[in-house]
Amino acid sequence: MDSRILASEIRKLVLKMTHHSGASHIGSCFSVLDIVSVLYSSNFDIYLENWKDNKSNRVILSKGHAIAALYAALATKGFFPIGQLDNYCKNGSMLGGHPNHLVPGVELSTGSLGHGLPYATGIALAKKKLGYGGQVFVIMSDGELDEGTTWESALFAQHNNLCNLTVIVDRNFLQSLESTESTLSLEPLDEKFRSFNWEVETIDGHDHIKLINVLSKTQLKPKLIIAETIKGKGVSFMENEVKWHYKSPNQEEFEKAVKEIENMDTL
Amino acid sequence: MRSAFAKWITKEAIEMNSILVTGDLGFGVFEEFRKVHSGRFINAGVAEQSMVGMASGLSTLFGRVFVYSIGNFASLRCLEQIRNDVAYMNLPVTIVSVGSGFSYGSQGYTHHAIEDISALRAIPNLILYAPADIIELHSVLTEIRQSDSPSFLRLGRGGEPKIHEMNYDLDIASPSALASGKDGCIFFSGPIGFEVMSAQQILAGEGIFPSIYSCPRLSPSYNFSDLINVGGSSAILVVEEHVRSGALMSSILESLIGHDVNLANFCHLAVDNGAIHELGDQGYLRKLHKIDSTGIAKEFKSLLDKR
Repeated sequence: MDSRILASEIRKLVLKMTHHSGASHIGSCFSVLDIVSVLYSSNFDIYLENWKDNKSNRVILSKGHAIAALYAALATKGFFPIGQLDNYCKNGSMLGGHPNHLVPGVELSTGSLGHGLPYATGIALAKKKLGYGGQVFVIMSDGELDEGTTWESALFAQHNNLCNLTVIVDRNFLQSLESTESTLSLEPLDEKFRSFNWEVETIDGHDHIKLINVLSKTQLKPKLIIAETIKGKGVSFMENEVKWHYKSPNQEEFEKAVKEIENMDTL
Repeated sequence: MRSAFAKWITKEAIEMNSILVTGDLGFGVFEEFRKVHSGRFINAGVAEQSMVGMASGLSTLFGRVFVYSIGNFASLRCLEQIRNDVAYMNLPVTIVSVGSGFSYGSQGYTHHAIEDISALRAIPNLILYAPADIIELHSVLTEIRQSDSPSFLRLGRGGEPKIHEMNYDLDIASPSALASGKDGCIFFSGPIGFEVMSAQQILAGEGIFPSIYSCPRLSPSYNFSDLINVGGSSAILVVEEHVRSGALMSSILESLIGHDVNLANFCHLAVDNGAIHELGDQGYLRKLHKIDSTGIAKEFKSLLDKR
């Protein structure tokens, strides 16, 4: 499936899921949505039939709070019936507010930040030792980089030359209470990772063509892609607003958001 | 026990398709392993949290992954990684923690592994083993080899005396009987068993003969209701090199819920909070906390006298 078609579907589904469930993190979902859409487009060959194969590309959503975007992508691709999204964050549902590995397509149960990258280094190292192809993609939030395991794993990945490991940071510059730079400044982020002997590229995290190109490149080292994004992307009153980390759209906001995303053009 | 573990994993690594990950520890322990299986040895550096997450990822493509570190570094430091990445994911990872209890006593409080069992017992899916000697260790390792479950192996520092007679087929599905006597019971878990068996000698000299049970598995808990004289009046002493809360005594009492038990018959010897700033070698600290052979014998006699 073309990434732009997938993105358009996911955006509508995420809006419905968070509205109907009263659940949070819609801002984070809209921020990461284009990255998820590109990784689950036909460019990266991840399907229900092969996602567990040792040779396949792997995707780990380390910023687990954006799970609605991933669940919407997986359901759209037939990993489980799309009707199950109606139960998102409802009592007794399989689909909660953070990833669960019992759901087809989910590699790791995340939600506590800083777990995805270490786990991914293990898969990448195992693939390398066993001679399997396939890339290991980790989607992290920028606030998540505060976790010490990020830097432990950054050392480990370069020491073991994990050129099959790609971290995509959803760089929206906002974390839980305020901006990343007012919280625990990350800049210059690219220089930090370069000094750890990683390849680094900074791109527009909503531009599908650029995302596809950069994610398809052969790497000689572990790679960090700083995907610059807008939290709440696509809905004017949600964009760059910290409160949409927590808030769920009420009926009026939902209807307004539906109209805005219907008119959205994806690059 | 760590040398016995190193020898075992060196022998089994290929058949189990295992990887050994260390948090930069094991000097003088894994030289032979590294020589024979260089591609299966990973030093993850002094980074216990990411080490455990990384080991979980490794185990999705390999067989069982063993993660080796010391006491609290292998347990409390990376507790959430053990909970989320190993146990909840239900992966074939075994955390091997050396230096249980006061093994590194003179290194100070940071090195006293005396709260790990209670933290780890609370984690679903994780099988928690604490063998007392190499005989129990071999039975535990045999069980681990046949299992797909996550596990935690709590070992002493090394040189623990054998308390079992040579028997490599020890059944660890239930507490292991070391003595059968007429004067109540003593339960213990782990290398503190040596002190218990020394206390047995002291007690025997005074004509006191308790039954003695070793408990090499702490989670899932054994069912103790068949061993403890429910409804009877036998004295029960539980000895552990661990703080009072959440470990062997808790596991025994939990298994007795719903049974007719008189708690006045019970006594618990464990590490008290009062002396946490004290340091010294293992023998010194065991004596200080009255979990040495003399303290154990004295407490058991006192329990019998009270009744």
